[in-house]
Amino acid sequence: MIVRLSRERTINFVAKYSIYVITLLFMIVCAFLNHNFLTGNNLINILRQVTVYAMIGFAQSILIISGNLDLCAGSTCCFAGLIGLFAYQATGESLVVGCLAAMASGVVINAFSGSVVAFFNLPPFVATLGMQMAIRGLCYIVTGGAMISQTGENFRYLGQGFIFDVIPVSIVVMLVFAVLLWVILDRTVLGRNFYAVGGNREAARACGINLKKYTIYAFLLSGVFVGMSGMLYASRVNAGMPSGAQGYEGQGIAATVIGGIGFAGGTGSAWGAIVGAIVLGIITNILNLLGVDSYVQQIVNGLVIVFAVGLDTFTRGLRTSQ
Amino acid sequence: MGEQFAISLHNITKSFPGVKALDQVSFDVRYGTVHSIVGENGAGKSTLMKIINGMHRADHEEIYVNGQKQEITSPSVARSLGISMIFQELVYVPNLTVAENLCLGRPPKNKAGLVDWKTMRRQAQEILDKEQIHAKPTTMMNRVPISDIQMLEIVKATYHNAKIIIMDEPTSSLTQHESMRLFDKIKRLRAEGCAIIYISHKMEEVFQLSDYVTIMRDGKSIKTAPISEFTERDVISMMVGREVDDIYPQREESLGQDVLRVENLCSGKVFQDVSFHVRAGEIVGFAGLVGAGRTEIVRAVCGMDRFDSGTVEVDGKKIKPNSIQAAIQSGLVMASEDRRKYGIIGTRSIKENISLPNLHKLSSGGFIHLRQEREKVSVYFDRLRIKANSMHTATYTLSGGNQQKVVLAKWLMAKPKVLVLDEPTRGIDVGAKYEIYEIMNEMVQQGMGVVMISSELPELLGMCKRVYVVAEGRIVGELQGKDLTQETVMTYATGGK
Repeated sequence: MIVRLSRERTINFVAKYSIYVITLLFMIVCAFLNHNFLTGNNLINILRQVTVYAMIGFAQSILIISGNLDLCAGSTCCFAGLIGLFAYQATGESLVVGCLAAMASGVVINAFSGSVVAFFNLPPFVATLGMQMAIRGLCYIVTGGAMISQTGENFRYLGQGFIFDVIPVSIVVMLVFAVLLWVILDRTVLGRNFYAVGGNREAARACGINLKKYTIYAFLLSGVFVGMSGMLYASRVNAGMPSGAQGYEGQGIAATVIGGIGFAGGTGSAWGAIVGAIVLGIITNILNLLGVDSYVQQIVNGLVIVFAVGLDTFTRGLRTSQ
Repeated sequence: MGEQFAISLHNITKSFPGVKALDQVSFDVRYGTVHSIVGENGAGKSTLMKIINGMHRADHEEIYVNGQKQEITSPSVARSLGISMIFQELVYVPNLTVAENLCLGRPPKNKAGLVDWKTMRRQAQEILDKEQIHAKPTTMMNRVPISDIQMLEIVKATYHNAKIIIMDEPTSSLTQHESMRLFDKIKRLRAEGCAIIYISHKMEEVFQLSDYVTIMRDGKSIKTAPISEFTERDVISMMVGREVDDIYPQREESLGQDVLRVENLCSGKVFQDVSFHVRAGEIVGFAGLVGAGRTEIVRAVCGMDRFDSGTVEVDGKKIKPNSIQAAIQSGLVMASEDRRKYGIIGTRSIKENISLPNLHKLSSGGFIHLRQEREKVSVYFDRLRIKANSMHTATYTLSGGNQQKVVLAKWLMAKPKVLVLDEPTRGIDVGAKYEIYEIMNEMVQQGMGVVMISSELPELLGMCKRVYVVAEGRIVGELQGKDLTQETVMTYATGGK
């Protein structure tokens, strides 16, 4: 068969891979701005710093693709980290149990949010915004409002450790979960149905897909990822901070949308969140290298989110206008 | 120029990425005439109208309004030139009142600069009286029938002394009865000296209403002439660029057992005591006015909406009520009238849309066999001749006819026993319509039972040998053989005997 490169195909190709090209160009610009940028150490550092954002981005990807949203992710991340730390300490410093406990607490919290959304038809925005405050309160209660600085011997291994002294554990964890997400979204009936429900609820229902069931599935699965992000976070800061991971849901959403997962649902791929998180990481990194004030950095980060979502809305307009 | 044209188009050309939507389109529209634009979907009619209305800019354009060359850069410029457009999808705010909708964006104000409600209501009442619409100015818009809303849209369009009115398929959601009322209004506008540019897929209407016709094909204006110079067959063959043999393909019917049997179905005030049956190898029609309850009945039968009492049997087996899953599993599926809302998932590919209700057959343990999926889907992709670069193309980019084929493909792949088609050819061009009829014939020849709802009577009579007529939520007649004529169907549908 002759492969015909039509113009439509070219446009689709550009639309699909433009984020990768932009990221690459952006990195080249950064390399010129500061000669420390393009060093192996710095790049690994960027990756390490974005692992938590990327994990929360994965969780948001599942929800946004299926037409939902989680504004509670930051609080859940913090809470799951605390529970993970407690479980780790209670079981004689078992990291495996800590991770499982963290993921379980993410699932439990999301089970609640998901049920409220599915059964009471609350908009995910409202339900999870309420949960954000509630869970943050819970974080302060379980810690008694104080930071836990005594963690344990190897608690920080996940967030700060290395395999064979070179490969950061946190990056490996992130990649493992990225592959897991890709398999689910790309290869399973579950993933297909997430896209369908987010792309067009009514049409999905007409195909016999149970909307309530899949809303809850999306929240539960997303809970696994958020829970794990909490463990990574707590391990990286090597402490239990009740005020930790504040506003991380925003970073997660930004990573997702920058990575090409449309806010309206039903589009995007598993790799989007990683790329988006890396873009966010590069921005922070280059600003740091250039010695930009941290308050100004906050402004930049905020504007990046607005710009990313705005661009998504704009291109959707272009796509549907013809 | 001897004659003063309302609007003259010279060599309008417009390209979108990858396609030339319009290629040197030229024609003139006269005052006091209805000028129809006909062409298949994708011929460029809508794009052309959007250019006239200032929503798109052409690459090359020369537009004369009243003999003056004009640059129509935005809809507000168009409006100031007396051009007004009524869209296929009506634009209104459902939870505001009729009066508020009528003066949306420019309400009458009192001396203090606040909204003058009294004047607003009075003006609205005058319009309602004049157009004989049975609604109060204070009625919520969502309680007004669609045909009245359309009439109000037209009133709104002519509010600002519009002399050139563009109508894009205004009858696509109206019944024949309601269409007649619209035609009266159009004729009155014509008598008042307006130029009406009328887009429609329905040949009957075009020949009934128009003074002039422009035929478009592949972005070009093929011919413009007075309607008297054409026959229906001429127009259709110029539109599709070839000779058309028959509008409705013939089929041999060999009927089998009942595949669908519905008995005494009731749902509150929506419909009562509905009983009907469909045999294998049969296309059964459902006729009736819009709002008679046809769609509501079949939606309930297929598990989409609730019903209170009654039974639905597929192949002799009673199915669980109010469950789409149960209906699909027993082999009863439905393609809705509203493709964009209920039919396709626009952001996803043709492949994913077709396999969506069939994933259980294409997977094991929750994992999809991608190769098997590709192979199975491509069979239906080819068989239904879906026009797209590949089956990986996103469905929102397809034309209406091809989207409908995607919906048909996904349900054919499910191998149903009964297929319910609600307005299967709405908004689809002539060529694609014929293909869809052929697909329907093919399906019943394989032993499927088909239920077809249509507001276009010629189509219904052309495709069905047995028709149920629905009026006010009841089946008021079952017509076949020599009783099945347009007149008898209309008599039953409008409540006569």
